[in-house]
Amino acid sequence: MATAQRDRRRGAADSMTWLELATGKLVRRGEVGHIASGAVPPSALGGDDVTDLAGGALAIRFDRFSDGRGFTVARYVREVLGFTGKLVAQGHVIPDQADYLRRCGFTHVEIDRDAARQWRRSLALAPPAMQRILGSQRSRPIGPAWSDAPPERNDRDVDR
Amino acid sequence: MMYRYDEFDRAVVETRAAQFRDQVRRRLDGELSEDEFKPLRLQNGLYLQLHAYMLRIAIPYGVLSSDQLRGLAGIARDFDRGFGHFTTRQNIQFNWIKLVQAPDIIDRLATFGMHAIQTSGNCIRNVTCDPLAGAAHDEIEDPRIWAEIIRQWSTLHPEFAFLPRKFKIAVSAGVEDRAATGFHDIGLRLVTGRGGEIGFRILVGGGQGRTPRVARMLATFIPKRHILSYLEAVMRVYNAAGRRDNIYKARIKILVDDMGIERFADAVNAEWHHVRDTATDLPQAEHDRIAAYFTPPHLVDASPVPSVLATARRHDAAFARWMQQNGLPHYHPGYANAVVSLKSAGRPPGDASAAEMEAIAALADEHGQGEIRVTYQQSIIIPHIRRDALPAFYRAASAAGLGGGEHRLVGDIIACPGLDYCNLANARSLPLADRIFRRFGDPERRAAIGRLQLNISGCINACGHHHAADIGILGVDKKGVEHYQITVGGRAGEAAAIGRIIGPSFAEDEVPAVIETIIDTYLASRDRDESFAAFIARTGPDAVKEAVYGNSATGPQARRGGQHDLA
Repeated sequence: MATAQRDRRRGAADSMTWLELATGKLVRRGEVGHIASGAVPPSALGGDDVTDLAGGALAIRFDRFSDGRGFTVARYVREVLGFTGKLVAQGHVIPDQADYLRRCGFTHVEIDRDAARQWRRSLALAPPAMQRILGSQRSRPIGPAWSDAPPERNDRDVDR
Repeated sequence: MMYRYDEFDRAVVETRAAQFRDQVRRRLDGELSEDEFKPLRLQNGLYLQLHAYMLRIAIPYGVLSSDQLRGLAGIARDFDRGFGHFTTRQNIQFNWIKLVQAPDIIDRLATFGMHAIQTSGNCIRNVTCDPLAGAAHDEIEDPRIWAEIIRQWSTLHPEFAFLPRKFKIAVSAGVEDRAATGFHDIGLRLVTGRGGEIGFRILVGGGQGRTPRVARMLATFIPKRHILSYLEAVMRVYNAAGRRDNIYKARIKILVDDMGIERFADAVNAEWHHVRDTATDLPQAEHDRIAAYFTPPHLVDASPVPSVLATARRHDAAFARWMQQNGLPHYHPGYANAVVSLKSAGRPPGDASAAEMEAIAALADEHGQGEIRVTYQQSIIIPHIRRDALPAFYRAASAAGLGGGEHRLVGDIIACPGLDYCNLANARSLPLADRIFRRFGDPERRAAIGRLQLNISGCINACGHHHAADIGILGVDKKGVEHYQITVGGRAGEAAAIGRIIGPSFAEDEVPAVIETIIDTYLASRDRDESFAAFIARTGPDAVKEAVYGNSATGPQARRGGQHDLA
């Protein structure tokens, strides 16, 4: 599947688009200023790599969906380096990871246009965050709920 | 008493159930490849075994209500072959599951506040705990509060769902470590620090498997309020740096080996610097909200030495033996915690039928507080039983066929499912466990031998904890024939140790006699009251080696076992 997905991408680069994780909307792909690999230890990322991008976009590449290093890189970029721009997940990620990506600080995921429906569906099916027990920023929902998600779930998310 | 799901927890398990149903549908429709489905089903506890799917259900830190146990009995009846299997991680698994029914089971579980989230897969698994938590005579504070806090923090944690490998955390607060913290990826011991403050001693990198390691000390004292940020720092170091190129070298113990404990600790502290004193630490109000679920039960002023108990012990030898091993001390002198053993002839260790689960639930309702604990030794403990009710408890348990088997004697065998179920196994575990159980069928003899942990694993993955046993048995494949290698001197708990191999392996038929030889050697040479563990610690494995193989490792008895295959 990983190979198939990559092949598809190579063959039809035009079908790739960004999905906004907060809303489930598709948006036109933008420029990314720097592509970090999930394989690079977060601490090796310099502040320069990301601070120059304030207001721009940074991409983190996943070689395989089961390699979760990119999640740690994302939180590091957000919470330690203080990056505030768009954060895009690229490479082999699957719809079932949508909510995890969002909660680690990704704003967008680069996907094949055809997969958008399942990504939206997966976002809507994501359970509320158990980490509500913490006062953490990441446990709060980012942006409004997409149309087909039960809205009260996100209210509860913030409550406690 | 125990944690109860509120509306929020219910929303989590119900949404998760709907999500899983969607994933199964996509797999059946071919939208998801098996490669992509696998980690998703595993994180919902669904394994593909030798003959069928197996569903492993989380019993957070081994605590169940009687209603939940009745619910599990219903699942055994309606979806399995009438049995459930309690595991070494205080969970329960059903071995005969159909994929298409798995979403229905998950839905059913949600109706009584249970689920299978993170019982498998490369994520933080179900957190385990002292089965006597909140009822023990020797604990610093109730570790269930912390186990529950860690459960909530680790459940569907967005950063740690795709780790290099599985990750197991155990919490223990007793003077005696009853949670095997030395054999976990992270072992947490509640300890009293300088000035009387309570905090955590943190062990890291323990585990069994093909590279057994006793955990090493990572931090001698972390204040309780920082535990989540500290854990997050450890996980972050592991997620970023743990090996992903080789499944056998992907556990945190290998990373700790490679970095060395000092460098590893430095890396954790560097990460901790970023997250401590931030929102990652648990607010006191949340701690208090969770702690309120674990208020002590209402206990009456009962006698520590009721005459009915003394009389029963005098007149009923079987009860006296049971009481000696299975009546565990309670913090209230008028109460006890009773072990209901799931070890008996013909029973795979840890198996319980639906009717037996219902009988255990009734015992807990009638004599306890409606609460049940699962032990990692694959038995059940019912806490908070008045000592004057123990004879009646024993009679009721015996009537249900659950009055046999003594906690921590030679028949209290831990065994993995082995080649009867598992596609990783080299050899069967269950028939051998049964043969050994029967070999030591005389209860007087078991009592005379005293405390002895005998564990069996069907392969090097060591699910049967053979490394941590007084006598460990490991199934190996020798030219297509099942053989068994024997170790002695392993130990879980305080001063954990890895057992040492005594020599070449044996065919299944030979093993019970070899075990008997080892035990007879101990009985003949022990100092008065010396336990098997103390005997091995004193003499090393040589005495039993010689008894089993003769003077030379190539002697006649060794040849019977064939070539040396210790690698």
